[in-house]
Amino acid sequence: MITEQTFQQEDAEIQRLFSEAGWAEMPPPNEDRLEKIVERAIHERIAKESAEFVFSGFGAVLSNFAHAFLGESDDLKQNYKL
Amino acid sequence: MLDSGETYSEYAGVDLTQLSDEELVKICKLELPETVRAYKILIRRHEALIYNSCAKLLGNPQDAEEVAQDTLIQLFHKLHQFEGRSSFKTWLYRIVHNYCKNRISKQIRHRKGQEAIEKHADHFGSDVYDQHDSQEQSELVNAALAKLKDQDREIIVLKYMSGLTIEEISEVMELGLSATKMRLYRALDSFKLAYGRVDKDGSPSEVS
Repeated sequence: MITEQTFQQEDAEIQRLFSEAGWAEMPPPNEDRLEKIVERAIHERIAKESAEFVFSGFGAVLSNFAHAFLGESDDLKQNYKL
Repeated sequence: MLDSGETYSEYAGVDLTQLSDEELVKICKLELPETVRAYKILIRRHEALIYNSCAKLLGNPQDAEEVAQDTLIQLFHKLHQFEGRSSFKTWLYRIVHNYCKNRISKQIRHRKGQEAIEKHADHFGSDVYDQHDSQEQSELVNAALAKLKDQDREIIVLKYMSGLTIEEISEVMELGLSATKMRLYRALDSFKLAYGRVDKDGSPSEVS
């Protein structure tokens, strides 16, 4: 049973075991994976921004239809007084 | 090297590869999503280790590939939320931890769980990063690891593969320091037991 007192010794031993199993080696970067990640990140960002744009535009269209249905016009709200 | 409050133009002539993770994060916050220069360097630094950690945690290369990619894409979207209250590495492995936890739940839901880990344990040896390892030792360690509970396996991977300190692990796993130590000691006891059995006859029995 490992305890606080025995941990340091056990830790060194297990560290050595994992090192021998190759865990301590710093693996090289996978270029294909990196490229995919950047591509997907950018793609997701574009998709998100496009969706936001479409939905905000959709809201404006609905609002204008509602105003038109109620007989209101944005022109009436304009203030040309200087 | 860089103080907070510096502007983007001040980073223009800096060799980004020489900067720390925290400094790269500052630049990412300034230039994402339009420019991915610093982001690319940041993910290049951590990608392989995250993939390997996921492979050990999840037990199969396909899941590890997806989770590693999802984690680093999440980094792209959420980097602005990093406030520097913990180290960047701790914050990053918190994302890895959450993604792996979700994936393991999904595996269990699909009745794969432990069976999948055992089934795919053989794939560990064929991992591209293990090609130059002591093959036999690596297989023994992986076979023993595959016999552990998910949480025991995770704490061992975080400590001995990802290189996190006990304090960092406690932040990643959202546990107290004492609880983290106890879990680590228990996990190591289980690992030693499993490894001893694997080493002895190559067919480890279940570790409780």
